Amino acid sequence: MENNEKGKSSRRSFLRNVGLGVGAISVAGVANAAIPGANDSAVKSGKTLKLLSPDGKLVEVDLSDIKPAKEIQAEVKSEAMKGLPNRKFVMVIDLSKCANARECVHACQEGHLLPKDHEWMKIYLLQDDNLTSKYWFPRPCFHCDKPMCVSVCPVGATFKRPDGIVLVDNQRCIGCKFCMTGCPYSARVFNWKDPEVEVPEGHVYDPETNIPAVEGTVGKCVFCADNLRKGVLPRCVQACPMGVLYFGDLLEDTVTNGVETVRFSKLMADRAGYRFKEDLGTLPSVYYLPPYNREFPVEMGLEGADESVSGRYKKAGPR
Amino acid sequence: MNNMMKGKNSPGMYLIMIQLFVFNFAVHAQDAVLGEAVIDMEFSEVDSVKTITVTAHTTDNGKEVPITGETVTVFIPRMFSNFVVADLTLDESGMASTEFPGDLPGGKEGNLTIVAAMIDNATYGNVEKRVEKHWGIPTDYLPSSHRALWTTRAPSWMIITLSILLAGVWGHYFFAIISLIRISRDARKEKAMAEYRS
Amino acid sequence: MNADKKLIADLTPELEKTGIKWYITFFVFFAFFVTGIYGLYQQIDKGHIVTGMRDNVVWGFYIVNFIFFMGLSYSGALISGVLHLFNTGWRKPIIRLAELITVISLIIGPFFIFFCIGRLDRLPYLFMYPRIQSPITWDVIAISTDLVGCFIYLYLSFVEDFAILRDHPDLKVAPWKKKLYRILSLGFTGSEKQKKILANARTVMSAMIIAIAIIVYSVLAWIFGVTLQPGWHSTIFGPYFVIAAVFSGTGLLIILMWIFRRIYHLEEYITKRHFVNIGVLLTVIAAFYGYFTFSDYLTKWYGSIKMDSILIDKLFTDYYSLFIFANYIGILLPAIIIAFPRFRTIPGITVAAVIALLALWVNRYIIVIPTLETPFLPIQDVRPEWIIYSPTWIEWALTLAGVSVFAMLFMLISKIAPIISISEMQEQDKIEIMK
Repeated sequence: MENNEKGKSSRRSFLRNVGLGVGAISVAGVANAAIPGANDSAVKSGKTLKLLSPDGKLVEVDLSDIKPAKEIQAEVKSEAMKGLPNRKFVMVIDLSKCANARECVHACQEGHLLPKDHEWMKIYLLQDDNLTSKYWFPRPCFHCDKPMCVSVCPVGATFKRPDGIVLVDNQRCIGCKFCMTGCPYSARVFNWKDPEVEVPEGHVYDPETNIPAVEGTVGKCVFCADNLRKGVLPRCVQACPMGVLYFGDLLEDTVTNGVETVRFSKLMADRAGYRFKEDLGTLPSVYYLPPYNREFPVEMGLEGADESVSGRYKKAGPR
Repeated sequence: MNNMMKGKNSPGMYLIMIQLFVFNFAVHAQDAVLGEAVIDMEFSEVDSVKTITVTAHTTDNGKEVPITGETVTVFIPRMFSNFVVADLTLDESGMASTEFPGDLPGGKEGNLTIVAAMIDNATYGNVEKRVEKHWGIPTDYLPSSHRALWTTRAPSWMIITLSILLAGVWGHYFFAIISLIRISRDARKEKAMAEYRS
Repeated sequence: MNADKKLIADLTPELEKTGIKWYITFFVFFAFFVTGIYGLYQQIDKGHIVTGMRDNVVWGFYIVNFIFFMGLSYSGALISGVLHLFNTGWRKPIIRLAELITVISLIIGPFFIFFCIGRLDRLPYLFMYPRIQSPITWDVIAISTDLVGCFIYLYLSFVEDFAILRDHPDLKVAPWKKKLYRILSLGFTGSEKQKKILANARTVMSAMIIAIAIIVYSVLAWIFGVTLQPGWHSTIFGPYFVIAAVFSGTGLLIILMWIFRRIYHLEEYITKRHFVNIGVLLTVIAAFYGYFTFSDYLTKWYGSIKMDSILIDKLFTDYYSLFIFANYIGILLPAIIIAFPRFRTIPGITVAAVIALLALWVNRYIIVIPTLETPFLPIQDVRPEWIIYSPTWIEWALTLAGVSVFAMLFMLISKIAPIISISEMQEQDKIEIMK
C-alpha cells in the first residue's frame, strides 16, 4: 500500500485495487494501519478476515469494515456528488497558442478509456466573420453555473456539485438525450453502441472517472474530477504541448498550465479573457483568451493531420 | 543530516541529498565543515504595504556566514502548483526583500502558507522555510443550497403549481369514477327492487 | 334498455360477423407490425447506431412520430369535448370515432418515446427519480393524466351502448362478448337518475379533456421551447403545437369517417353535412395554423439573429420542398378545396384531409431535425451521417408499425363496440321527433 496523504483517497484506491472474485462484497476499510484515523467505522468486531489482494499481498481486515457493494456504490456516488470542499474549478484556454496538436483530445480519450470516435474535448476551427481571422477553438464541457443540461434531465442523472463540476451518473442515465439538445455547446456525446473498452479489474463505477462508458448513456468532459481529488491536473492540461490550457481553483485565484502559474484575475485583466457566447447566460466555468499575438499561423494546425481530421475543417468559415 | 524538505518526497531526492553531502564533504574535506543552509523570513507591514525580507545563512565552524548570490524563491503552494511571488537574489549580507501582494485569497480565515526556498541549489540543495501567515483575504465559498432549475430541490412555485393542477384534474377523475360507482349501485338497487316486486 | 330497431340493424352487424376482407387487411397490418418489431429487436441488440440518429441530430423519426401521434389525440378533445359542451346535434355520429382516435393514438405515442430512449431497462427511473424541473417529467405526468382521463371519458360513452347491446335479444355475438357487455355496462338500466348521473359525469369530463389536452400538448411544445436551440427557443411554440395538433386530429377524423362510412355502409348516418361541417372546421383551423406558422417564421426571418438566419436559410435550401409542402400546400390546398363548392364533395374533403395530415407530419419533421443540424458550434465532421440526418429502414419500419398498430387497434375495437354510438343516435332521434 502506498503511503498516501489523504486517507480517503487511499481507501478509494484500495477499493479499486482489491477485486474479490465474489462480486457481492467489497472491502470498505483501510488495511494500511499506518494512517491514523483513516478507518472510520465505529466499532471493531474483533473478528478478522484474511484476503489476498490482486498484487499478491495478504491483508487482514476487520469484518466490520466489509460493506456490501451496493453500499460502496452509494458511498462512491455521494462522494462524487459532494465534490471537493471549498473549491471552485475554472479553466482558461489561450487561443493564441492553440495549434490543433490534439494532444488534449488523445490524452482525454486514453485517460477515460473512450472509443476513438468519442471526443470529450473537441477542437473547432472557427471564423467569426469574413474579415476576421480563423482560430483553433478547443472546447471541453464548460461546467456551467446555470447548466441547461442539468435543468432538463428528467431523472437527475447529471448534476452540478458545489465545486463547480457537472458530472453524469451513467448508472442513472436513461439515454433520453434531452441534455444533449439542452446543451448549446454540443459538449455531450452519446454511446450509440457498445463502446467495447477493456475495464480495469476490480473497478467500481464512479461518476468522477466515468469509466466504463455505458451503451445508451451520455458522456462528457468531467474536468478529470478523479485527478483533482489527488491534486493532479486534468489530463488535457497536462498533455498540451503549447501550454494552451490553464486550470485552477477560482477561490485561490490561481491557474496553471503545468509550466507557468498565474493569478486568474491578472490573466483575465491582462489578456481580456471572455466566455464563449456569454449572452446565453449559462455562466460557463471556462474562459478564453483571445487569439492575440499569435505565435504561429493557423495553417500549422492542419499540417500532418490525418484526412479524418483535416477533412473536418475544409468547410470552416463564417456562418 | 537534518533535511527540512517536506511534501513531495521521493527516494531519488534522498539519494541526491546523500551524494551532495558526500561530495561536499570530499571536496571541502580540508576546509572547515560547512553546515546546512538556513533560511529565515521576516514579515513587515508598513502603510498596508506588505514586505517579506528573506535571509539565509550557513554555519561555518559555529559562526553564522551569510549566503550571497544564491536564488531564493518566495512562493505560495496552491492546489496544483506553486504560485511564485518573487525570485530573489541574496545580496552580500545574505538578505533580499520583496513586496507581497495584499490581495491574495487565502482560505476561510485568510491564512496563507508562505514558503521561501532554495530549489535545486548547486551547493545547498533544497532548503526551505515554511510559515503560516494571516496575510490572505478570507475567502469563503459556500454555494447556497437554493432552489433552482438545476439543483436537487425544485423552485417552490413549480411544486405548488404542479400539486394544484394534479389535485384539480385527478379530483375530477375521482368524481367521474364515483359517478360510475353510483350508477352501478343504483342499478343493483333497481334490480333488487324489481325482483322483490315480482 | 331498448333501442330503435333500425339503429340496431344498421350498427351491429359488424359486431356479429367478420368478413374475409377484414382478416386480410388485418393480416397486412400485422405483417408491417412484425417487421417493425424485428427492427426494434435489431435496435435493442445492436444499439441505436442502427438508426440514423447521431450526436447532433439526437432526436429523429421517433420523436417526430411521438409528437405526431400525440397530436392526433386532439380530435377527441376538440370534436367530442367542445362540441359536447356546445351541444351541437350533428356531432353525434362521429364522436365515438373521435374518442377512439384520442385513446388509441395516446396509447401509441408513448411507445415512440420508448424507442428513442437509450436504456429501456431504466424506464421506471422516470417514475422513481423524477425531477420536476424537467419538461420531460412534466410530459410523463401530463401524458399519464391524459391517458387516464381519455380512458374514463371513452368508457363513459360506452356504458349506455353496452347496456343496449346487453339487452338486445337478437344479438348474435360470441358469449364472451355478451359477458363483456354485461359487466362493462354496470347494470345500467336507463332510469332517469342514472342517465342524469352519466350525463353529468360526461359533461365534467369533457371540460377536463379539453383542458388536459391543451396542457399536454403545451408541455410537449415546451420540451422544445425551453431549450436554447435556434428554431426551438420560440415563445409561440405552446399555442402553435396545440393548433397543429387540432389540425392533424381533425384531418384524421375526416379520413376515418370516410373509411368507416365506406366499409360499414354508414352513408345514412355520416352524411355530406358532417363532412362539410368538419371540413369547414378543418379550414378554420388551417387558417389558424397558417397564421401561427407565418408569425413564427416571419419574426425569425425579419430579425437578424445569426442562428435564426442560418436556420431559415437551411429550411429554404436543403429542406425547400418539405417546407413548401408542410407550410404552403398543407394549408392552402385544403382551404381551397373546402372553400369552393365545386370541390366540396365527400371525396374532395377527404383528399384535403389526407394532404393536411401528411403536411403536418412533415411540419413536425422540419421543426425537429433542421434545428438539430444547425447547432451554435458548427458541425465539423467528415462522416456524412453525423452531419445530415438520414433515417434508416428501422426507423421507417417502426413508423409504419405505429400506423399499423393504430389501424389494427381500430379494427379490433370496431368489433367490440359500435363505431357510431347507438345511445347518442337515439337521443338525437328523440330530439328530432320532438321537434
